[in-house]
Amino acid sequence: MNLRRYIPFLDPSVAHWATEARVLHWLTFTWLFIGLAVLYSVSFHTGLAESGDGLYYFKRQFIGVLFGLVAFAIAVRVPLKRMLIYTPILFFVFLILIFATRLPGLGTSVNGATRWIQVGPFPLQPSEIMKPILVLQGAQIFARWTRLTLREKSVWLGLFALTLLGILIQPNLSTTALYGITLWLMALAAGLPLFQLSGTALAGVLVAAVSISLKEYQQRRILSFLNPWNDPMQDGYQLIQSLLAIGSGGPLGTGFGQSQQKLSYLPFQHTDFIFSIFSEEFGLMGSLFLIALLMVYSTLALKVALKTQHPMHRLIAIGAMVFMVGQSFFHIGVAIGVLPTTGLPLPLFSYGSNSMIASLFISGLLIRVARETQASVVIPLPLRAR
Amino acid sequence: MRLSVATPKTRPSRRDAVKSRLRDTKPVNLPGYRSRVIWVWALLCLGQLGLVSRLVWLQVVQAPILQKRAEAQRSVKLPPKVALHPILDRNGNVLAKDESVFRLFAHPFLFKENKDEIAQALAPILKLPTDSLIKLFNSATSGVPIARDLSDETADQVRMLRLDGLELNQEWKRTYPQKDLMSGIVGYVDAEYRGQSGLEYSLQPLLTAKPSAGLVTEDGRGYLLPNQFSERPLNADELSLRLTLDSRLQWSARTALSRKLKQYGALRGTVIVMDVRDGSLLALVSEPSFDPSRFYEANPALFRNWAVADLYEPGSTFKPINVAIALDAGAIKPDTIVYDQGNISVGGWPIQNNDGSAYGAINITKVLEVSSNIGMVRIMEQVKRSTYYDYLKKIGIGEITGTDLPFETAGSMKDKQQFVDYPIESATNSFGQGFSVTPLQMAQLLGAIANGGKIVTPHVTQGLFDPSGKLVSRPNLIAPHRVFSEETSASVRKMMESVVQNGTGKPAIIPGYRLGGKTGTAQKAAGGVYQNSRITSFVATFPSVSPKYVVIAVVDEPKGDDAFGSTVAAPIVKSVVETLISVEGIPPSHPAELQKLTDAIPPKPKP
Repeated sequence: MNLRRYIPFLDPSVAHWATEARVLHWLTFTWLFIGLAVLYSVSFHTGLAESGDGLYYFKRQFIGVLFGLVAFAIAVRVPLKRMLIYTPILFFVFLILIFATRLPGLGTSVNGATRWIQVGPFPLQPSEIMKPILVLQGAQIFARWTRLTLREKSVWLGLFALTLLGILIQPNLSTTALYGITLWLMALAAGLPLFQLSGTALAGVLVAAVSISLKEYQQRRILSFLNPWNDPMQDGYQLIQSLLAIGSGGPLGTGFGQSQQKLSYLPFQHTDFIFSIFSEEFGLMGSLFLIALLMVYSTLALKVALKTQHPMHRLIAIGAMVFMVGQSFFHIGVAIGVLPTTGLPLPLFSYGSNSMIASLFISGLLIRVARETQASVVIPLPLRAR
Repeated sequence: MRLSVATPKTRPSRRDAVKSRLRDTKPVNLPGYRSRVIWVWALLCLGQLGLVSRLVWLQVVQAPILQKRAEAQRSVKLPPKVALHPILDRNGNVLAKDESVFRLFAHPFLFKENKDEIAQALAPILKLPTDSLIKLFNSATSGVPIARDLSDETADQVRMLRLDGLELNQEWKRTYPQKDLMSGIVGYVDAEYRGQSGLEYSLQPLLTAKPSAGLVTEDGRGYLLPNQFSERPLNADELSLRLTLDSRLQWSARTALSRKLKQYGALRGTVIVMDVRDGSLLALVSEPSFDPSRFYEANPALFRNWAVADLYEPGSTFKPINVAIALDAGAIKPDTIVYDQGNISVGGWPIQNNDGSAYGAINITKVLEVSSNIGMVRIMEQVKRSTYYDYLKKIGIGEITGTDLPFETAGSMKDKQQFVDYPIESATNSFGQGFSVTPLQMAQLLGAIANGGKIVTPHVTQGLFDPSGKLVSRPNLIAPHRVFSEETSASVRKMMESVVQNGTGKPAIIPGYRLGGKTGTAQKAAGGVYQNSRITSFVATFPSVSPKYVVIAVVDEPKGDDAFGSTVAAPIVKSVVETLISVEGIPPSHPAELQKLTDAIPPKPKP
């Protein structure tokens, strides 16, 4: 028995994988380890201030990573065909769970949003775990789009719309937007007719605009990113602190662990604004390095998507690319003030077990697609290997 | 599919239907999928370009500005813990200190809760009735003063309510734990926290606490971070002003003085104890006094310490100084004999002794012992008038002493021409009249006799000390300078000792100890005419051999025929010297006398 098989980043079978799969494998772990190191630095002060334990968040994140690695191993090893069989069931389960967070007594409220369901010691966030399921299910639907009856099309579109609605009412505007954009980009990649796509896009933007304009305070908050200095103590506070952090980094950064803005100035620094502190500590140099890493990742995903002949696999690769890289760009965009100040985690960086599990699972899916692309290399695994 | 329709068995046909359906819905590669996939990737590339350009803008172009803003938000100046430094006596007893208090304002237009709820929450904390609070809230929309002088604890309780529309302003309150004991020296601060009398007034720039020079950093919660602290101790700026005064001695002197003031129904009085080696004052009592925390009720005349601010004719207490001048000028020897015929006329003015008697041929010591005016005139006639005048100038008559207490008045003196031309001027001066000094200056002059001939500057401040006891700054004082020779002062001290042992100073005798003294009883002059009212005084040097202290008591306008320097002032000085002996632990110079006293007490009968 070879124990290394069970430790994802030591798995000896990796050497036999397709090039893209191998590189993506190492890239994922590079990303993950940088993310863990950054979280250690970012969360130490907050942990110390809140619970007297500087390692509070790091320890919990580490447990999240362990669970995430299990999810990663499953994604990398289970044939996609088999995985897709279970997807619709999981989709319905988590769709119900997303709405279940609204049930009083079941959902847990943090900062005015009910996104969690306490399962024993684990706070389950259905809207995060839904991400890989949505990638798989979206791929299944859009890859067969032209073969579906109108009824099937409308049922699935309705279900996707229901998913978005469930997340929107939590309320979690940013995740809703991310889901919508991911689905839309998958549909775009699937080759759906452009007029249908633009119609959907227009409808989505309209719905978003209307829902925002209904509440004046929401409108003010969302537009505050255009000029945060207008109201530096209220709506603009987070963004200003984020900008101060990023600017303080300068070209070369203050050095690992040397951030000043993490000392209780920047709120949500270990979750929604982790990039700001990373950028303060590593400067423009570090920021460009991270973006370069993301671009290499997305280029590999593109390569995988172009190489595979299976349309469903291609869409999985595209979905994974958008959730991993696109979400990262949204997170960075919020931190640097080019997007409205909303909360999106930076995959593999931000604190949160659900996000960690979802992200590692999605990256595992992308690697699985890469592995299955060269059919000669991917041997259906014997049962004991799973 | 065709078959399944035909067969009656439904199961295989349904399986076939599903299979066929799955075949029909097999995913397909739609035309142009490659470009669609590249579009998505290109979209990410575009986003990346946007992010990178914004990051360059923020981290290169804007970096200096943002860095400065971030630094500004975490930099704080440590506020001073006090507005004015505390004042301590020589033993560290607090004479004046700042207390942090809070003033509460309400801004009803900012209230989030209704006025009743806020009033109900505040009432028990402020110990005010709810109704009156509501009335206050209704009186204006903003800036309503609710309460003042709230303690730290009360302010915290108000803060914990977390109510909008309440404002707590920190203020300082100067407290004077010794009340009226030191008010003449320490003074007081007014409602605007400005010193208005005493040291609070004269040393205000020195007393004002400065905020620390350097900036320190704090985190977002307001906790100080250690990265920018200087190596100096944090409390290095918590200075205190230390005085030379001794509260115990001050208290004792005040008690002795008050008793006599009461006994003789006197107007006012002062007692000064000065260390003659450096001019530091151990006690400076002026009665009546005021309570500095209730300064607004006091007679404003009391804010100027009259021992420093008011002039009087020193009378006979000045005679030892004159003798020193005559000796130092070489006009007389310690054993010179003068003739006191009891009644003379100088320049047409009659002069006589206080008691009208004539002592005949007497030596200098005897002149002082009996306080003979005629004797003094005869002595000072030996000194050339211009020399006499120059001496008076040299010892500072007509000048201020340069003390650190405020409102000091310079003494008055005739001009030289008049002094030289009219013999009556030098004649009256020889027994201490015709010019004026402050009680403090009198102490200074006696100090020069006591310390071997040097004029020292009387003062009450030692200086500002840091918490480790290091002197940080001290007021500049006029340096000591010699006016009499060692021999001169030694001769005069001997004569003064004799005054106490054999002369008018007898009421000041303390068994076992020797002190030099001189009484003074002078008629008060008002508008150039001598009145019936008197000013009695007594000056003493102690111990008589190599004295360390000068003690002077002046009582203004004691009533009664028996009110003399020897009856009113000498007992005060005696009482103060006795306290001085116990406070300073001075051993007796003539222990045999004490032995005699103990022997006089009959031994306890043996059981």
